[in-house]
Amino acid sequence: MSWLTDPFQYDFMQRALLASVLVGVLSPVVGVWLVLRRVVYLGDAMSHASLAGVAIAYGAGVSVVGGALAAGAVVATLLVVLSGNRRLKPDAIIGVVSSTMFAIGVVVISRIDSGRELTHFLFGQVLTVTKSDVVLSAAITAIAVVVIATFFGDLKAASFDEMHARQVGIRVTAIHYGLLLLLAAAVVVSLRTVGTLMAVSMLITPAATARLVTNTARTMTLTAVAIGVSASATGLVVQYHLSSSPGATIALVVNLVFAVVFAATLPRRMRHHVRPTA
Amino acid sequence: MTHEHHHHLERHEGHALVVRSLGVRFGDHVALRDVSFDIGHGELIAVIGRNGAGKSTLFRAMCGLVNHSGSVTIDGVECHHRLDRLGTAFIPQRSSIDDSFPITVGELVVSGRRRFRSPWSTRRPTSTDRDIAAHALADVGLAGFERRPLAELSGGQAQRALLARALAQEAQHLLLDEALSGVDQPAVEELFDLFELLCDRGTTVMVATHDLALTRRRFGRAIGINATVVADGAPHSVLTNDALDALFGSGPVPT
Repeated sequence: MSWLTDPFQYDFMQRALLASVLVGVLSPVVGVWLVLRRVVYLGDAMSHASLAGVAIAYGAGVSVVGGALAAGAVVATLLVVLSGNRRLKPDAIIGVVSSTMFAIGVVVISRIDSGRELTHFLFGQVLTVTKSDVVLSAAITAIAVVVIATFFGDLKAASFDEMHARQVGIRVTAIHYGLLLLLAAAVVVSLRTVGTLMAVSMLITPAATARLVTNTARTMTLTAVAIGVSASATGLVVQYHLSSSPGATIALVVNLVFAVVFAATLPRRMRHHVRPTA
Repeated sequence: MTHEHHHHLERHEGHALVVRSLGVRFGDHVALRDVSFDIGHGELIAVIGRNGAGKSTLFRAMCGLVNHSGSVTIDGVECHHRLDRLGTAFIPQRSSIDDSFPITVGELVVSGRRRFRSPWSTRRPTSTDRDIAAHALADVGLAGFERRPLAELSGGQAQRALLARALAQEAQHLLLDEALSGVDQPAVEELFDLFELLCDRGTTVMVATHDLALTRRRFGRAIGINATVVADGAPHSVLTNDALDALFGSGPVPT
């Protein structure tokens, strides 16, 4: 038992736990919709692109969180402006935009700093999270969760059958861009904990794991949050004892959960593989 | 002039759906041009044509889901916006539905009720909504299927569940896109019994299909589409060699 509780006798570990748990709530709540809408690449793109905002804000000495949110807004805007092209699908545009912004981030940080800060932004630095970081993350998480809960029905309808959603009067385009902003918020909250490179593991893996064992969007969301929160807490304890990178340890724990659930549900899925045609 | 105008109005009032000079362009590509027809209440109509002839584009345009020129008048009201057409339901083909999406049959059907709330409404479905959805499911022979995952339904059952969603929407005009492909023969016959029941209640049912034998056997009217209307009438008069040539032939579309 002390193996579990020992780490949390330190204030910085308590703050790290709170910060990680918030990531474990928000990222899966948003990630469920990336998985269901088959736009998992958006999670990767948004987290990479956020580095540009983080770097510029860091260089200018202003709020890094504000910088990341601004980068998210830039990505969302560029997607709107550039996705009218008939020859290129949005995923290609997103590949170009996110790698450009990631490169801008790396160039800016490497000009300011020898590389230590770059490592922090790429891989997180959850052990140095401050009280105000935790408060800000909690506020962002609370707002995002309330927004998703409020529009849950329409989000589900617009994601399942966009055309029917339009037919019954749902504002499908507004929901799409609202989701991009929520994604930017989720990336911001996970920057400190798992960093830009591994933010996607918290966005996608809990949601993908939950899909294997649930049949509605609601139970999938609740299950994904349960997985996200417990993996964050477990990862944090494990990294304390292993002295390993917190972000990467959390990412490995959550992906291990996926592997176990995937293997455990394999026989059932094989049985249902042949579906009736009548 | 006055007399003509009066006549015009009368004709529109009598018809469920009046389409005039409807055209759809995607960039340089003309998908539909100068499509006109009148459809009465309770008609069961096959829309026939090869793949890419514009059948499903026609339906989407009629529902206001793609931009179009010309006019669509529904129950005497000329539609300018998607929200004028909430009583017209486009029912997608089964294969275009995302099988991996976790949604129950009940959730699917009750989503048709969304039409009766404002676009920004955050209200959840009421118990009345759920009762209506349950009735719609019973109407299509899926009573008690609410809690079943949609992905576990057979092709015919899934098509009927989509139909139930349109019934919960209280749509008076149903536009079914290839509703009969991927559905086996007994299930097709069941669907037609259902269509006939709906038509008896005054609902308009248009079904896009390329099954000509079925068109001959079970529809009262067929509209042949090849970018424009190439034939319109009773199936036996539409399915002539000349008309079939215009519909399925490789030659240029007659202008």
